[in-house]
Amino acid sequence: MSSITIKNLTKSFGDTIAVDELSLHIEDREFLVMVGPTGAGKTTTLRCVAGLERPTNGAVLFDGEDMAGVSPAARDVAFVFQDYALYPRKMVSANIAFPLEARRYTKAQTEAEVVRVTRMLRIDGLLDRLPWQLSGGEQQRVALARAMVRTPRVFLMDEPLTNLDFQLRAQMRSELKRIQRELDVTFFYVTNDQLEALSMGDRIAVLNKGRLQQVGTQDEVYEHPANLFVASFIGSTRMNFLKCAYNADAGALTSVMGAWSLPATAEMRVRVQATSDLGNLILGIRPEDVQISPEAGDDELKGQVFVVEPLGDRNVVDVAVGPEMVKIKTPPAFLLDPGVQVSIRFSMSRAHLFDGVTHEALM
Amino acid sequence: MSEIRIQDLTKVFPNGTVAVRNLHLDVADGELLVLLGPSGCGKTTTLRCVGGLETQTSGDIWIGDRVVNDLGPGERDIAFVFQFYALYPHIRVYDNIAFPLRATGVSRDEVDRRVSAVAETLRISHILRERPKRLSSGEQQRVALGRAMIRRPQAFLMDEPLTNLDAALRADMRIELKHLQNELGTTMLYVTHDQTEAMTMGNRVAVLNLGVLEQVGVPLEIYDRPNTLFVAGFVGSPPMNLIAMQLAQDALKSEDAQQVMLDTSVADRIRAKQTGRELVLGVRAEDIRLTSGGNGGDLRAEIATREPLGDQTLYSVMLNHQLIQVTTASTERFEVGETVGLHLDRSRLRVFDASTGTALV
Amino acid sequence: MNRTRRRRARSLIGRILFWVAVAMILLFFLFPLHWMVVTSFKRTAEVTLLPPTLIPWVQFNPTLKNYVEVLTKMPAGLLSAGTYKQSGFPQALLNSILISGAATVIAVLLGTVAAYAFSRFRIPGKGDLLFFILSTRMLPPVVTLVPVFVMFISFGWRNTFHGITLLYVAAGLPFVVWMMKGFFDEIPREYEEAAMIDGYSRLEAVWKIVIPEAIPAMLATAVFVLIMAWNEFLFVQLLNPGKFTTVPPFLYAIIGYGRVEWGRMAATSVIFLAPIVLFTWLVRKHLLRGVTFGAVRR
Repeated sequence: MSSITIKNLTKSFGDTIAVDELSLHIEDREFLVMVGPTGAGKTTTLRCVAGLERPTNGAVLFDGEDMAGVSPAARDVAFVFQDYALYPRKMVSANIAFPLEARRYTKAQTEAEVVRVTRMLRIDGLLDRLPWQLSGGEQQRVALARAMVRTPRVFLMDEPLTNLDFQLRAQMRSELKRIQRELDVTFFYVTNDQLEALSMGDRIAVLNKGRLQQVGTQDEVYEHPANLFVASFIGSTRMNFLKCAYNADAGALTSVMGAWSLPATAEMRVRVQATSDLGNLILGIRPEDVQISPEAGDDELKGQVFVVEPLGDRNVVDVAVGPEMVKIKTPPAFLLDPGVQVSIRFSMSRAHLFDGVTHEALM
Repeated sequence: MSEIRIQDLTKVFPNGTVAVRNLHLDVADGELLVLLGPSGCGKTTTLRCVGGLETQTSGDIWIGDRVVNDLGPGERDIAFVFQFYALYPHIRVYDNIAFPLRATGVSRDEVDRRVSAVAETLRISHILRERPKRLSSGEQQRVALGRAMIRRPQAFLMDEPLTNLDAALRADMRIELKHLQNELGTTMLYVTHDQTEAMTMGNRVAVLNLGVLEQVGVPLEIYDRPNTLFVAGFVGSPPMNLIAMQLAQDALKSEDAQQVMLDTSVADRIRAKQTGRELVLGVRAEDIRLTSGGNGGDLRAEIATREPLGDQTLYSVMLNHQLIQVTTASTERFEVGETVGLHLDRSRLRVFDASTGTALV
Repeated sequence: MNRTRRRRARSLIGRILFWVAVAMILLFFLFPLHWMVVTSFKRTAEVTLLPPTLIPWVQFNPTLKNYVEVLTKMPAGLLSAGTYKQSGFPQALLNSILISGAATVIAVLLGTVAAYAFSRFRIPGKGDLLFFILSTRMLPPVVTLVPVFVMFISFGWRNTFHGITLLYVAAGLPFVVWMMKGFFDEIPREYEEAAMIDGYSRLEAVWKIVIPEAIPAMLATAVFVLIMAWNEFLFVQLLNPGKFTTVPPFLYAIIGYGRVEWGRMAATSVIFLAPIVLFTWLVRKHLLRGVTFGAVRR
């Protein structure tokens, strides 16, 4: 059980900077999910915490203690790799027992722990199989068992669910969350799937190009994204972004492409003052905060249906408004043919405004 | 463009595995039909048989108006898009796309015209001079598509082309592909294990399991009215909740004696068709409403986990040692451990026979 | 469906043709071996008979005389009729075994360790170093004959055991490094890392997890190094003409003098062949590339 503090961590490989001045504190017993696209630096960060990579600069502290020069074995962490890294020539039981042998547990102790852990993960029937004989889900659980069999201070997980097929992934999400609560250990979990992040993490840290974009609870990163990247990355259907300018006289936001003009809310009028260039703004609105109807109203935007994606419990309709595309979430019964003219309305109270240059959130 | 007809297709591998069993499926001219199923269900094998990369053990394949059983892949006038693009790495994008044309001796001007047209449709005109190595996955994907499109084949066969892309890119490419297919009216047979992809892209979806066709229909039909337990559990995210029940007069009784009242006509229909006593109630996460306190709903359960997903919240509730998934709007809030009442939308329930796995209502 | 029947008939003819071709190729390669083995069981007079006799017991009477003479003592020669001399073959054979064996073991061990380092660690100038190692194989060895000779003379390594062994190690190392590096590159480093996380030092992790994976590849590589050292003629003839000579120069020397005892020579060759064939046969499973015994399927 321990907290992890990452201080100004920088890691570069030759000319590429993988992690850039990352500072993050993970509380003891917290389930923190670090999320970001491929290449954002998440795996590198995790490996630095594990001791598998040496930071170019900065420090990793466990409970305030600097881990520089401490070997991975001595850090007492558990690591679940993306492709599990099960020892190919050892049976499942030997795989799971391996860490205990390294720490010189007696045979009796080892056996007891292996039984405990395999029962918890319901793989006690697979003990004498070899890794290649197991399915993806089973391999995953063996990897987890190997991590759980000791009682490490910290669990580090590198996209462990990516290679599972999607049914299994949903199941494992809740299991992992349950296991973390039961074991009451710090989990530092890395993934590129924002759904995993939202559903599992106590807090979420969003990473892009080696830099920390925002860290907070689900509500915080979803409702109040700190910048354009977080807003675009978090959310199962991407937020709509429309370039616009603020017209102070009319108190309105006008599209840069000239296709529309909307009255700005009171809050917008205040927040917009923080930007340097009123002509370069980005309006962000989530698909569920846009209404669509085939009839026309007065102050509504007009567009043409481009594509309709039926997702089962809802549809996502892509509407072309001038040269820009707006995605709208609709109930599943809502079916329109491509090419049909529609009008759409934004819930301005739920809209976000971003600075066009810095991409920071203005509200 | 033409239709594809798969008649009574069976494929048995030398080691005895029956990959595909008596498959009967038609792809209409201009249709995008998705073959959906878990790994090992036979979808890729079927695709390869249609393409001529595998020889079927028995059955006929028609492309357009001719039987193509004895024709090699090159003679069937189809294009294949693989999971890993298979772009020629050391020649430029332009040459990659032009390659199939040059093989058939088309004139230089004609080649140029057609490559430019295809590049414009796919919006890759600006990278024609690049080598595949320098392209992003999305661009590589489009080049692979271009190479397939250039010969104007009768049909496209696509083997999980988006699997290797990042989640965000996949979502974008899905839309593009769908839009492209709409515009060009190409016949496509598309294989995937991702049910979201299947739902959003297919004009119709064919669900396969262990070599057998479980159901084929438009996405909403597969989603709203799955015919078998397998389809019910496979399509939909989160998967449909499947609860063991028995019929007692006009109600479905769960193991802990809770009851879900049914219309008499519905109960009669179930009674008429059931083969045994065991039934399975299928209800989707979004068709269950939660209310505080245990009373007033069809069933009572306790909240086990809460996952806020942004635009909705996913709860799993413990009912009889089984976790049931319920999605609600993010404005509703229930705490873990709270007892809640589950209200099931009667119009959206499915009841399956537990032994045959088929839907009764 | 007669389409299917026609296809099956076509494939049957194809298969027959295939096996006929295989048989012809096998015959081409195995016939000289057969001739040699048969010759080793013939008396000298019988060897040069025309038409040649190929099948023992049916066409001629096999004898073990050649083998006995080659391994113990043989008639001294026409001019010293009646006397016998010791066969130099057993000593030469022993030298071959010891020298080639030692060189193979050392080259494979050193090369494997180096290959691991090249595969796993970031070494400045790694690309250049690797190329440098590979480039030694680009030279026709005969080009280095004179410098090596001079070097051996000045070190006093001529006619020693260790001199020629070291030379073979140097010749075999580049091959081992290249083969094993490619092999290690294909083993995900996550295995060692998992073992290190589990509590072992890198050395222990490599020993427990990676080496067992590597043994088949090491054996396969060893076969090639062994064959190279075993058959080597040019350098050993020049550098070790005396007590520490190996079988190839020895064989060559036999041919040089007057009438050749074909029977004895054939026997010598067969005995010389035996250890290599045996070793290769023992490790044959590991020679097949792509045999990933126990590897995790994904």
